[in-house]
Amino acid sequence: MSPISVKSLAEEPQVSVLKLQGDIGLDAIPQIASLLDEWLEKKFYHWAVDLSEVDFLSSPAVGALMGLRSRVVNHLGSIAFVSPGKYLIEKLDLMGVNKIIPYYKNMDAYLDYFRWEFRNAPRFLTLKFPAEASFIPVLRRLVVDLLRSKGYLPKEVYGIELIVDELSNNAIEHGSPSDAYFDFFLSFDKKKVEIRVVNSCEDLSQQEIDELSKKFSNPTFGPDALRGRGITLVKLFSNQMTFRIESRKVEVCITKMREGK
Amino acid sequence: MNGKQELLTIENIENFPKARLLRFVGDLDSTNAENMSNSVISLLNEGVNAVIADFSRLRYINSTGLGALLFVNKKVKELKGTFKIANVNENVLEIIEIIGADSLLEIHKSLDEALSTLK
Repeated sequence: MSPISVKSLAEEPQVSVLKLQGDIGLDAIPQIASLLDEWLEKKFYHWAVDLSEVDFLSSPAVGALMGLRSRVVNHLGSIAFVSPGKYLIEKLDLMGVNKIIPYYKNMDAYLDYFRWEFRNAPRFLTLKFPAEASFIPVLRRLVVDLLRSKGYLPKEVYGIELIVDELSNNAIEHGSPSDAYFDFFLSFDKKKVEIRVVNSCEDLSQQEIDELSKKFSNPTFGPDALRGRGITLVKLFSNQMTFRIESRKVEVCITKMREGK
Repeated sequence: MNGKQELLTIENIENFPKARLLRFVGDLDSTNAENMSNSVISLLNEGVNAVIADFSRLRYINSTGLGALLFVNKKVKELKGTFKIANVNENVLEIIEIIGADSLLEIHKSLDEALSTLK
């Protein structure tokens, strides 16, 4: 079996997997170059280089892969190393490759990255959260850390943190959750964040439903008012806010688009 | 964020026995806003009539925290005292401004500037 092969990734046919095996020395370069030329001509611009069975990767081989990177980046493509061993990682890091080509510990981790970056796949978080104000900072931190880990900037995360805070406090303070929990849903991709907060409550009369609807539709507060600014802030910091109030349930959803995305 | 960090430390201000400097650290939110306003009300009850809040290390504020600040501001004004805020970071200032509270609060760019206006 040839130690060098290329095939499409079954889960993402756009992705070509270059699998290398054993010792990849200078003598392997012509075969790698020939295979790459053949696949690039067919316009395959996303590459996962499977290094799981590589014992040695020579400097010229690394150079060839760096050359592949230059070619695919010009076509808005990508290259990543999958499953490099410990000693290979040390060598690649010493050469500074880690600053240019990302590594993933296995194909699942690579697919996760690829789908986020190139398929705009969303991430989800669903929580049943205790309806106590003391827990809200934990929820805020969780959402902030998730978004920051996916490249959201501190400034945009700050506004989302505020929305999470206000909607959660609203569910706790005004919803009077009858089961002492509220439901929190987060969905985000590279372009937008969607949040949905749902709380159950005691039977609301039609008058109470109307008052809550008015508060969500057109929140108002006097200049000296101590409360009532939360929903206003949510509206100002989000692009869209919708709500649904039933006699035993209140649901508020927001969408926050990322600027310039 | 919150952790076990104390939100507030209170210091005397040299040559102004009835003034106090409040240094905020971390987040002013629903978990500590009431304690903060109670602390300031206690100072007012002890005869303090000028309060300067240093926000240089205040990372975050929500509507409850903002409401507590406005409550404190109102109480100080009722006693003909002064409540000044200094060193507000960009994010906190945006929340104060977007809600229109900057017209109610006396905000200074620096602590030195706020201190220089004490009488």
